[in-house]
Parts: sequence; C-alpha cells; structure tokens
Amino acid sequence: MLSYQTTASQKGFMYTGLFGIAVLISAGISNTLGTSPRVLAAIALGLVSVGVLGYTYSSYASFGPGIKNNGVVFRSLTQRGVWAYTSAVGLTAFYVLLYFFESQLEGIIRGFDPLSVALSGKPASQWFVYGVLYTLAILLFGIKFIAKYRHSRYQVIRTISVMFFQLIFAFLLPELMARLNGDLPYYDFKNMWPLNYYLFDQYAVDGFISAKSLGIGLLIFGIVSILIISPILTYKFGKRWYCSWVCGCGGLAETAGDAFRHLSDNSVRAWRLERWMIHSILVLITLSTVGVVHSYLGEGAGQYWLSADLFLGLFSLFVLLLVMLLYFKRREWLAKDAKRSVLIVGAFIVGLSGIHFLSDNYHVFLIPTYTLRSAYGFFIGSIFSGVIGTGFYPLLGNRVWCRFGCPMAAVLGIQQKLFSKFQISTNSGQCISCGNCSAYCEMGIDVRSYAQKQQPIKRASCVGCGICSEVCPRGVLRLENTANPNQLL
Amino acid sequence: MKEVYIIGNGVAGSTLALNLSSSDNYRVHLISDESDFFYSRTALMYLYMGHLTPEQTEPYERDRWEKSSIQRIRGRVIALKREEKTLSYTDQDGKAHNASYDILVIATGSLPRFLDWPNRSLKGISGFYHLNDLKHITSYTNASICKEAVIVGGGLIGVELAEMVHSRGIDTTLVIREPYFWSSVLPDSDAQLVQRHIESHGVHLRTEAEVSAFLSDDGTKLSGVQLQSGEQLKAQFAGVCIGVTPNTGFLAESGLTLNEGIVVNKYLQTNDPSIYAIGDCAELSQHQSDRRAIEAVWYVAREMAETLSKHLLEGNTAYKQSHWFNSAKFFDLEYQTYGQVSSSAKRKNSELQFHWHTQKQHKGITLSYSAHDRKFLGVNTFGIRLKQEVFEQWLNASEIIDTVVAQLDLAHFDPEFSKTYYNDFRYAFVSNHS
Repeated sequence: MLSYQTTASQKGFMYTGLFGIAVLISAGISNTLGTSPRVLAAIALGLVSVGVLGYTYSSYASFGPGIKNNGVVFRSLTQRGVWAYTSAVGLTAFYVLLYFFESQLEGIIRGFDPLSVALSGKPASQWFVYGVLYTLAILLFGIKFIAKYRHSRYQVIRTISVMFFQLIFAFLLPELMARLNGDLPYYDFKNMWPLNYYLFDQYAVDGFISAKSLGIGLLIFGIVSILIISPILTYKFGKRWYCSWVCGCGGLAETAGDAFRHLSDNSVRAWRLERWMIHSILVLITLSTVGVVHSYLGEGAGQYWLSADLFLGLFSLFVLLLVMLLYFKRREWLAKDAKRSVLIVGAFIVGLSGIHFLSDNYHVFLIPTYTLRSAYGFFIGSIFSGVIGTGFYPLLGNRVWCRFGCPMAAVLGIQQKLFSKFQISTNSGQCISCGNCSAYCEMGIDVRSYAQKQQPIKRASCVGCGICSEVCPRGVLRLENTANPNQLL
Repeated sequence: MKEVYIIGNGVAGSTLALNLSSSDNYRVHLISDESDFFYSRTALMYLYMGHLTPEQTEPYERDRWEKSSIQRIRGRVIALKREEKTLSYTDQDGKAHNASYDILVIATGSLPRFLDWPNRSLKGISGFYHLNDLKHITSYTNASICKEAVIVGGGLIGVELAEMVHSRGIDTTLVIREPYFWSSVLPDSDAQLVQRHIESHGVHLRTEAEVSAFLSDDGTKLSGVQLQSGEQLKAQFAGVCIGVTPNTGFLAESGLTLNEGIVVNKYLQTNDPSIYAIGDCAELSQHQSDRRAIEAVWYVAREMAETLSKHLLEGNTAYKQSHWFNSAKFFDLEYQTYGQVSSSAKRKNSELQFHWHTQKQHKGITLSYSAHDRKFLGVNTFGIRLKQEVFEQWLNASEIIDTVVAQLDLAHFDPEFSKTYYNDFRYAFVSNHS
C-alpha cells in the first residue's frame, strides 16, 4: 500500500521536475546568462523526464498492482492546498504567455529549433514548443498512469492508445506532412471539427484546395469524420472511442490530469450548468462556422464549387432532418430533455434565418461574422480550453474543458445519449454506496446515485475512462457495449 | 398524517426515511446520535486512508435532505414509554425533549463486541464501527506515537482495520482465533488464499491465537498485547474486531422482546405493533435454516428498509431472505459470494466443493454443490468479478453444477480486455469433479 504521506524520495523527484521547469524558464532569459537556449532546453526536458519517471518509480514500484489512492485527500497538491494554487498560477501564466505574449518566450522557442528543423525543416514556433511539451507530458504521465493502474488491461491499453495518437497523429505526422507539402495547413487527422473549429476557415480550405488531391482528400476526410465516422464509432463503443482513447485534450486530462480527477464537482447544480454551457457553445461554434463559410463562399462566388445559398440550403436540410428524427423517433424517452433539445434546435433555426435574412455576407445575427468568430477563438479556443481547461486542473479537476466547454464532446454526447450501445452496467444489489466511483469520476457524474439504485449509467458526458469500475471495491460497475440502443433509426 | 420516528440514520434508517418522505401519509423524523447526514459506514476506511472526503462518503447530496420533508434530529434516545407512545431524547447540548410517535422504527445498528479482557479500557484500544471509533483510531495511530499495532479478529472488519493502519506505515499484526483468516466462514482453501494475499502486503498474522490481556507501561496507555500462548506483542494501538452485538441497551426497560437483538416477526414488527426494528439490531423470530437470525451486513439492512417501506406504503409486505450474497475487498483482492459455500469446519458430507486458483493465487473460485443430485449451492470468487443476476437465476432454477461450470462465462463481469480463466477453471473441474 502506498504510504499516505509524500515520502522523501517522492519529494526529491518532484523538486527535480520543478528544477527542470526553472531551467526552461531560464532559457527564456538566457541571452543575459550567456548560455545557449538549446543546451538549457535539452537539460530542462531531461530533468523533467527524470522527475516524472523517478516519482513514478518511487511511488509505485514497491507496491503490488491495485488501487493507489492513499492520502489523495490529505495532500496539498491534490486537495486544493498551497501547492495546488501555486501550480494553477504557474500553468495559467504559461498559457497566457503562450497565447498572448509569445515574444516573451523567444528564448525558449529558439531552444527547440534543432528538433523542429529535424522534423519539418522549419525553425520552431511557439506552437511547436507547445506541441513538444504537450506530447512529452502525455508520454511521461502516461507511463506514470500505466504504472499506477497496471492491474487493469483496459487502462493500460487505453493509455497506450492516447500516447500513440498524441505522438504520431497530433505531433509527428503533421510536422512530416508539412515537410512533404508546404501548402498543406497543419492537419491532425484525429482532431475533427468542431473541436478543431478553424478546419473550415477560408485560409484552411484554400490551403487544402491549393494542396491539390491530398488537400481535397483531407478536407473530405474532415467532413466525413464528423458526419459519418463519429456516429458509427459512438454507436458501437460510446464517445469513449474519442474522448478517452484518441483525443489529445482527453489524453492530457487522463495522464497529466489523473491526480486531480477527484476534484470535479459532483453536484446536481454543476450538472445543470454543464448541460447549458456545453450545448450553448456547440450552437455558437456551429453558427459561427456556418457564418464564416457562408461569407467567404458568397464573397468569392465562382471561386468555389459550392455557392453560399446552396451551402446554407444543405445545412438547413441537415438540421431539419435531425430535428425531425429527434422529434419522431425519440419523443417518448427524451421527455425530460425535450425542453433543452427544443431550445437548441430553436436556436439553430433562428440562427439560420438570421444568417439568411438579416445579414449580408459579413454578418450573423447582425453581428459581424469575423468578430463572432474571433471572439469564439479568444474566449473558447484560448481562455477556456487552455487557460481554464488545463491551467485549473489542480483546482477544478482535469476535465473542466471536456465537460463544460468542448463542442466535440457535446456532439458525441448527444450521439451517445441518443443511439449508443455503450453503458456502465451495475451488478445488481452489490453497491455499498461508499462513494469512490462518484469521487473519482472526472466528469463529475454521481455514479453512485445510479449504482445504489441498481440502474445502468447512460450519461451524455461519460467519457468511458473506466476508473469508476477500477476504484469500486465491490466489483459493481462494468463498461459495456451491449445496451439496447433503442434501435437506431 | 402519521408521525414516524426512526432511530438511527444508517443505511436502514435513511433508506426508509427517504422512501416514506415521498408519501403524504407520513411525517418522518430521523434521529441520529452519530452524524448530521447519512454517510456510508463501509466508506469509513476510505476516509481514514485519504481516498475520500467526509462529504464524499454521503450517499445523497445534502441538498436532497434539506429539500425533503424529513425532520433530522441530532440527539440520543434515552427512554421509551410505549403505553403513551412517546420517546425522550437529549440533544447535543444535553437538553431533554419528548416526542409522540404513531410508528417507531428502531435502526440503531451494532456496537463492537469486547470480551472481558484485563485492561480493556486502556487508551489506545478501540473497536471499529462508529464515527467516534474512527476519531479514536485516528488519534491513537498518529505516526509520532504509534509504531506497532495489533488487530484482534480475523474477519472483514479486522482486515479492513489492518489495511488502514498498515497504510500509515505502522507495523501491523492480525491476531486470529481460527487456523486461517476468516476460516469460520470461508473454506480453508479460500481462507489460505486470502491469508497469503494479506501477508504479501507485509501484515503479520498470528493464527489460532487469542488475547489474554492488554498491557500498559504507565497504567493508562496501551503498550502491548499478551496472547494466550504467552507471546507478547508490542503495540501502541489495538483494534478489537471480533464481531458486533446489536445496539439495544437503551431498550432494556422498554418491555420490547429482546433476545440477542430486537425480536421481530416477518413484517419486521416487534411485540409492540407500532414499533418495528430493521438492520443490524433486528433479530428475525423465524428464518431460513441456512441463514442466521441476525445478519449484520449492509445489504440486509438496506433490503429490510426497502421491505418495511413497501409494507408501510402499500401494506402487507413480508421480509423474505433472498439468496445470500456478500462482497468484500481484502487489500487488493476482491471477494464476492452468491448462495451458500460452507466453511470447512461446518461443511457436511452432503456438500461437495471444488476449489480452483491460479498458480500465484491471485485469482480463485470455489463452487459448492450437493453430493446426491449435483445441485449448485453457491460460489466464492477472489479477484474475479461475476454477475449476481446470473447466479440468482441458477439458484432459483436449482441448476446443476455441471451446467454452471459449462456456462460460467455468462456471469462474466470483469472489465474489458481482462484475462479470463473460464477454460482453465473448466478443465480443472472436468478433470477432478465430473
């Protein structure tokens, strides 16, 4: 069993990692120190790696396989103590610099030039640095996660999957593709719209088109991903196929954020807030994307094979079909959710007519399209997903963005709720209401409230991480793909 | 509107209170001496080990209690006047109050059992049941004053407490009266498997051992435990987990029929028709031959509460002991049982058992069946999760053992990608028992 207090060797490795971060910061001001940023960056990453891996070894090596949550609620870092606030401030500061003051990071960025040149042939940008750090975090903390949950093959395989997708699909492939074809915009195969909200922006679409067949192929793949691939996979496996097996945001949350999963708010109030926020953001990004595409199609009429009016017509038809499907096929059992759905759909339709009748090419709802779009990029894309989503891990839990903000999770959640075979089954009357499942649910689902009533858990937000099933001391919960999906269509 | 007073806010009392509160026929009052809100007693160990915060151990959001019509009273019932249908209780300031009830439900649970050992009231000795016990244990096992601990009792609570204090780096010894851990309940094969697991975590065991006295250097604080063998174990903390007794002391003068617990009929009703008892403190006047009159486990308490709710809301609902099931976790080893698997000491020749385990003894299954007609009787599993529903069906249908073995994967409940052992198990069974 893990001792409930932080041991000296755990502390030692934590300080090693922190020292690594300090070295990285010093790279930013290295011109005053006269040391090469490359050397400092290499030393920094080495120290951070030693810190995380050493901490993992000293925490788990001497204990057998099994749940290792001793002392979680006693530690400053994991129970909103001084260390938690310090880390949150540090992480937040990093995101603020990254998004808004990248010139301050110049020294650090130069330290990553050799790696960037080796991969893409270009010098590093702040996004390259971010990508390296992000990928490294998923790999290092992924190893920690695997060591911690090594008794469970589901956890081990799932974590190898997120590590693989981050390293290959999010990090290496786009860099190598940029090397092969300079016109191609950065493209992460697994990052689909609406998470990747700029996928259909004019510059991106123009980039795809000018990259010829490969680019067009990728553009089509982007559309097929969200409209065809995602519903099929969600039908079979639930949204977990994406959120806790593939997604980069989910990957970071599951690995680097694992120590903070118990901080997610379980209350009914938080659930209510979650449903309003995530669906509003989905409506917002859909409207603004449609507005942006509509405006550049209208502006550059003849330049694209799709006209603005046809695009809008197709989109309205699609929404109308969805509404009808929902209304005629799901009316009975969606009763309690009906109000919300109707509201969302209503918002869509008002939005559509707004675009069509109240606007010229540059306005949605009389609000300039590009203002709406850049506001979304700023408040949702940067502040929410980065600063709050990751920076506040130690205070609000590791899935704040996924739960309250991610429009992709909203789409997959609706799919999961409407027509998925995925559910968490409960083992009859075995629940002892201890509360481990609810406490360690990173999405703040009150799992216990279902388990103690012997009901299966079918929640839109469940990302299928499977930790509730791991921490259950009585073997009550099982993730399954065997639910009756109420017959698709 | 009838006034219902429920004494005790454990799983029995709280489940009943919530169920009744939705009815317009009852006004529910829930009295507890222990806590403001219902918490899960089974989660006390996770509170101590730092897995959960106190609020996370509460099965219902506090909001739910506050919005409900239930009157929650923090107090201790001191007397019961049945002729007048009144009870009196003292609140936390020691002030006395009287209340009249139409229906009274006693759900006061248990108290840890102690024997008449010399020095049993030294500082550093505690049972493990109540929230107050946990407070004592926490202060006694403070790392600065406690290096060694002795846990007395080889049962479910004993191993929990051993895991708890061991997690704080305390050198822990478990003193067990039986030849193996919990072998009063488990077949020896299973008991040995669990015992091996406990020892692999570094907890020491003394089997076939009993305490003869608690020792103290200074006359106030515990310093050691004397065993009947003469061995002395150093200890600054001793946990006493040799079982529980129904918490009925306050009823001695009440005129209610008391045996070991409060005697109730099949409607969970005492000899006073307006008074019921549920949970650990209730003793069934009639019970199935293979079951006990008092079954102090979570599941039984909850089931009794559900039954009584139905009886009071819909009328005429008797408590029926369903197929026995239970579960536990010994350190990292999960245990589930469905039906009847007798311990080696109690097993009769009419019951055959088949035990299988992996080479490293990380997983194990024991099935029992009747010798003359091969009827399946029950199962114990270790490190393997199996579905209760499937076993209920098999037990209801009096399925034969060979069918159960052949179809065991139907009960599969381990997480996806887990290694399965059904074929190994089947092969072993066919080679030995068919």
